[in-house]
Amino acid sequence: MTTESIIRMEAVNKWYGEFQVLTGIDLSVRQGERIVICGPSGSGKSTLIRCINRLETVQKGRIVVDGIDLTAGGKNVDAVRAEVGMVFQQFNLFPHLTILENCTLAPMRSRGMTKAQAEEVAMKYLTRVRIPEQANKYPSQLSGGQQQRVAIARALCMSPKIMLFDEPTSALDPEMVKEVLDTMIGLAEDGMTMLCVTHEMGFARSVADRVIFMADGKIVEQAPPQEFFGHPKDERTRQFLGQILSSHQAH
Amino acid sequence: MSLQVLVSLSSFGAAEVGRHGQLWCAQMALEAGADSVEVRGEMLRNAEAELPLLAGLASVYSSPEGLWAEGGWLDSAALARGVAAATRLGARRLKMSIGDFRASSHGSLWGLKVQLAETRVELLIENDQTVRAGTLPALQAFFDAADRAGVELGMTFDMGNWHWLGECPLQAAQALGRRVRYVHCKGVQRLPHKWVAVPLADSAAPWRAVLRALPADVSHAIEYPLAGDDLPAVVRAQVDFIRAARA
Repeated sequence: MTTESIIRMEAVNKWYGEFQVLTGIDLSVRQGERIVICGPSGSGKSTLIRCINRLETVQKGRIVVDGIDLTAGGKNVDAVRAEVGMVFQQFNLFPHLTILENCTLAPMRSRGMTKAQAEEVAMKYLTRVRIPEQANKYPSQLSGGQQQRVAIARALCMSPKIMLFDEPTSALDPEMVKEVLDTMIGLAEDGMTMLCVTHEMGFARSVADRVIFMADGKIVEQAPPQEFFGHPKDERTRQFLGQILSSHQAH
Repeated sequence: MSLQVLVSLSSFGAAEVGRHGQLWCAQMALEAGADSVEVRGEMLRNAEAELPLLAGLASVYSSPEGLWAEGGWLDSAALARGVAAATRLGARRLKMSIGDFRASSHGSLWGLKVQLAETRVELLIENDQTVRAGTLPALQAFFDAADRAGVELGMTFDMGNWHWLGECPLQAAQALGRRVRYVHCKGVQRLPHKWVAVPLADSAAPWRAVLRALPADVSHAIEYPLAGDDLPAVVRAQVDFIRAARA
């Protein structure tokens, strides 16, 4: 991991109308760093990572991603989307396209690849997520876990420098969570810069370099996992961790 | 006649069933070698639309409602809804738990008898994961009361649910085996904070001993997670496993 920041957020503030969803966010992410963001519903964690690939714009503050200042305006700000892959809770695959076509669409349109090149890349990543044999099927023929792995492969086909995950396992049955987390662990081991919004605390413990806890649009606490889980400083963090553990006990 | 092996459609997981629908899951299970399926009331998004499409594919309808409502009142409406859904499916069996059956409920067994006499759908009582409707004393008390009232009821024996309540499944099988007309096959494992359902072969429970204590000539259903990259192959293997276990 280098010490160079690939993402820098400085005094970022964002409002939805009167409601302030992000307040004074300062965050610096080093290349190759793996960050898990957790927090209660409505704490701003999804909004925060959506700002990094410009799915959301901010009213105040500065965001620089891979040297591109997203808050400066100009033509090149949308270029950041080519460098940042994103995986959502709902897999967002095109239902009328095969798995292979889902994976080749963006590289052909945005990267100018030929069909043959794009298919070669797609098969490489479908193999990496262990479902090359599903290439000619449609999303509706796949399980949720498989669809999410396709969504990861599709994002990788654009050769992103950063991967963002927004609760990638929360729409899955428990039995399918592991196959998606295993795929993400593989990416982490390869040195991908990753920001992941998740409540999978086992994943956070074993994979994250840093765990961030958000509440009310602010970063309340951040620390390496051992410190974060072993000695949470803020009362809200302790309360949240207690609730997460007890909710896992109840089911 | 060979053993009838069903797949409870809940085995595919709530999110998967929500994504694909019970019809897709049922067709896949049948193509993979299951003799029939159990349709789950709690997983129907639009019963009006889904039940007619599932007609002829299922032999059991599982109602999420208890037979006796909070307070110990016979929930005739819940039973009527279950019977209606089973009838629309063409399923010959309806599975329900007893719910809040208590000492004051004994008088209402007569009402249950009358209501059941009006349908050909067979009601089977399942041990669930609640103390009031899933422990051995609760089930024994209920069946004893039903016997005394002349209501002859069979049982769906869920092999795994006993563990959630700290009951011994083998003791339950020995006590209730003669009433069992349908077996829910379910292995279990204990995670640090909870019980989880697993395939029989992965179970930490003495599942072979429990099966031996249960009748072998009744329908058996898979009710544990079925997941994998080749789902039909997973279903086929598990159906074969159940057949082999009871051969």
